[in-house]
Order: sequence, then C-alpha cells, then structure tokens
Amino acid sequence: MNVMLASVGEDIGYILQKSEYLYWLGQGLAGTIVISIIGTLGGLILGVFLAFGKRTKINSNLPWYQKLWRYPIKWLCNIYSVIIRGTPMMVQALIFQYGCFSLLGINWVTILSSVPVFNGSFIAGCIIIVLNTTAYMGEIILSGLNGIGRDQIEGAKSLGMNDFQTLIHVSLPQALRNSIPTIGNEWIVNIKDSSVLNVIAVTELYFQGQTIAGNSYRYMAIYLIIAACYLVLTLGTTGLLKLITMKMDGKKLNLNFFHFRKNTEKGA
Amino acid sequence: MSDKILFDNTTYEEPILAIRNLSKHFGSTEVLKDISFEVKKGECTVIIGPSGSGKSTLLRCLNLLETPTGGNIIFKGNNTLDKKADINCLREKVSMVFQSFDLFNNMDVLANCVIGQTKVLKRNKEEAIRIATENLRKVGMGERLHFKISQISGGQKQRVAIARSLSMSPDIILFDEPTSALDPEMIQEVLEVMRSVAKTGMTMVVVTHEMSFAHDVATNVIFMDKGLIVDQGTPNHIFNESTNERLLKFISKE
Repeated sequence: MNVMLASVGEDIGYILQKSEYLYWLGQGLAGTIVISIIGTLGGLILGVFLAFGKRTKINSNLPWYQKLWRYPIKWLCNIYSVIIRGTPMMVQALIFQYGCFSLLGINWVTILSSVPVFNGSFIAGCIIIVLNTTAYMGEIILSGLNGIGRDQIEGAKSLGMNDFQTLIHVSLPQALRNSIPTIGNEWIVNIKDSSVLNVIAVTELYFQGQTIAGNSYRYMAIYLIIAACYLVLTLGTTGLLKLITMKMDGKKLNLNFFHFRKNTEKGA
Repeated sequence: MSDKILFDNTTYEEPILAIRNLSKHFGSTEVLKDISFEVKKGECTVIIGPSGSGKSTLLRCLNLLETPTGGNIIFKGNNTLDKKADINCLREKVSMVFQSFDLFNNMDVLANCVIGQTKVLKRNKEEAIRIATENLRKVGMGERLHFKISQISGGQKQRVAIARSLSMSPDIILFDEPTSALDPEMIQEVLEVMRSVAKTGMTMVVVTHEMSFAHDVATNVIFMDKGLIVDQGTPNHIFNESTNERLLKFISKE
C-alpha cells in the first residue's frame, strides 16, 4: 500500500515537472472554463426565452390568430425541454456531430483544425452545451417566475404596466435574483459534465487528461491531478457566486469565507 | 386600434366615478349585489363594513383587478367595462394602495416611485425623479430615497406606496385596507399621510376599519354588509343619525 502511494506520488511529480504535460493541462483547463461559461451564459439567455415560451398563456377566449402562434410555440418549447432533458448530453453531442456531417455536410473536426483548443470541435461542443443547458435553465427561470408573489404582479398592474413591462421590470429581475444559487449550480454541473464532450474531441480537461495518460502511461496520477483541477474549479465558482449574491444583496464584501462575522448591526 | 378609450379626456360631467348596479360573483358565490354609488372629484369616500362583506372586491373592481360580472362603472364619462376600454390607461388614472404594500422588492424606494412614471406615463427620467422625490418628501420618506424595500418598516413601506401612487398623478387613489397590516403607531403615521393627501383635494376611495378616519376625513361613508350597501351618507349620518340595526351593531363593536 505504502509503496503504491509512494509510486503514485512520484508519478504526479513526474507529470507536473514536464512542461509539455503542464501545457496540455493548461489547455484543458482553459477549454473547460471557457466552455462552461459559454454554456451557462448562453443557456441562461436562451433559457429565459424558453421559459417565456412555456409560459405562453392560452385560453379559449383568444382570437384564432393568437391561438395560431401560441399553441405551436408552447408545444415546441415543451417538446424541446422534454427531449433535451430526457437524453444524455454525450448522445446529443454525437447525434449533433454526425447529423451535421451527413445532413449538412459540415465536418466540425476539419474547421479551424490548426487552432489549439478553440477549434471546430470546440465550437460544436459550445453549441451542444448551450442547447443542453437551455432546457435546464428554462425550467429554473420558469420556477423562478412562478415563485414571484401575486403582490408584485398586482403592484405593477395597479400602475398601469402591461404584461410585458411587468415581466421585464418586475418579475424577471426578481426571478433571476432568486435563481442565482440554482443557476450557479448549473454552472458547476457544466464544468463537470463538459467532460463528456471528449467524445467529439473537444479540448477540455478530461480530454487532455486522457492524452497525457496515453502519452505517459501514468493513469492514476493524471486522473488524480485532473480530479483536483475540477475540484479547484468548482470551489472557485462557488466562492465567486457567493460574492455575486452578496454584492446583489447590497452587503459589503468580506473575504471571511467561514462565517465568523462580528455582530455589527446594520444601520436602520 | 385608434378607437380605444384611453380615459384621457379633460372635460367630463360630474361625478368623476359612477358605479351603477355593479355585481360580481365567484362561481356560485355572490360577492357584490347591485352596488350603486357615486364619487365626485375631490371627495373622500370611505367604505366600512365587516370582513367578507365585499369591500375589497368592490374596490378591486374599480380598477379592474377583478372583472365585475354585471353593471357598469362610469369613469370620466366612459364605461370602463366597454370592450374598447384600455385597462392599463384606466389603471394609471385610478391608482391603488394595497394592504400588503406591493412595492417592488428588486428596486429601492426612489426607483419604486420612478418606474411607473417612466415606463407607463413616458415621463423623462429627470422629471420622474423630481416628482418622485417631491412626493416622497411629502410622505416623510425624503431621507430614505435609496433604501431597499427590505430595509424599511411596514409604516414606511405604506407611505412609499402612497408616494408611488401620487407620483402617477392619478385622478383617483383607491386605498385597500392600507393600515390593516400595521401596528398602532404605524397606523397613525400612515393615517396622517392619508389625511394630508385628502386635504390636497385628491379624490380617494378608502376601505378601512379605522372609524376615526371615516369620521374625521370622509365626505361620504358607505356601510356594506353581505355584498350590499346597507347605508350611506355623511359621517354624521352614519355615526350619529342612522337607525339601521346592522350598522348600529357594527359601530358599537368597533
């Protein structure tokens, strides 16, 4: 046992000393960070629209031309969210890649193939992760919007705001604020789940880990290293989100992460 | 659709608001039965009555937060229940103050009073801020323009809500039990503000359980019970002269 641990330790040391391997790891880190941010932000923006689509109001009093677009939009949004949330992202990525090739003739692997990290496969990965996150974000925003109290809506109505103004100025900002912990969670999920995108050769952390493993034959060591990298990334994200939430609540930033705060009463 | 009723006519025949044979039922429950009364410009009408008598529903029908099932509401000479009536235009002229304040939690005190002006009335930002600040000063909140809603007390919230309504320069302000969620001290500070608003000649319709307010400020008091107007008249008539048994019983218990 001790011998094994010592040898893994040696292997980690070996990998971390090789500048080539460090460079590959850095590329993987960059890829994972960028793809998770693009996936989360893109998914958030599209998710807002998905939530709007799913909230489309339909009642029997509407004129026919209103029903003509309201029914399809609502159904499309519901079907999208069911299909995307009901299938694994790895399968979606493969379907997307081969679908693009056989239906549209786009071979993502050949696009920008000389660019390190941010090549055609990476773009394909971004599209997949955005489309995937959209479905989850849609649900998050939807529940956020449903959680807005009736008093807020009535307050807006009583000023003469129309439905759209109420949504943009009152409901949505509060829904987004209340959803920040869940949205942040989605970001953390994206950091980890982007690893499945290695099936379409996206240069992210796990993909680079595999490359190093195949090159150095030190499997245990490299997977421990990338596990540590993922942990650092997710912990960093959690801390960042905490700061953002505090800032939005108008509290002063204090870098005391362990909550030993002095009981200073806020001014009335 | 240019033929919408926008309620922006400046000349109209009194009364400014006339309710005729208004009725409302939720399913098979009749909440309002054949309600008729009038409100003239500058008057303060106070509606009193036991809980569940339909006071709040009546008030909410006036700016169409509830849709009446029968009767007519004539505002500035136009029927608000007309299909061509623009509900949002009605609501910006018939403003409302709620029991639960209904201030926007995502904005500070000043922004709460500005948003309606800039987005609904399309005033420019400087003017809106000037008007909002002026009104917040009137209600004694001039010092706390940039406080978050979660940082101020219930009485202060209600005063901000009144300032928010005033900032819309409405023709009528509806008060839906504005003091019911407050402790006695805060009730007084809010009633004080409402008194001063009434003095400026603002047309008000107030649902309240504060008999002193009805007695001192109202020009017309309406007593409701079980969806009907039981008695109405001057405060003197309601509190001293009326011989209606239900009303006497209600007042003696208050």
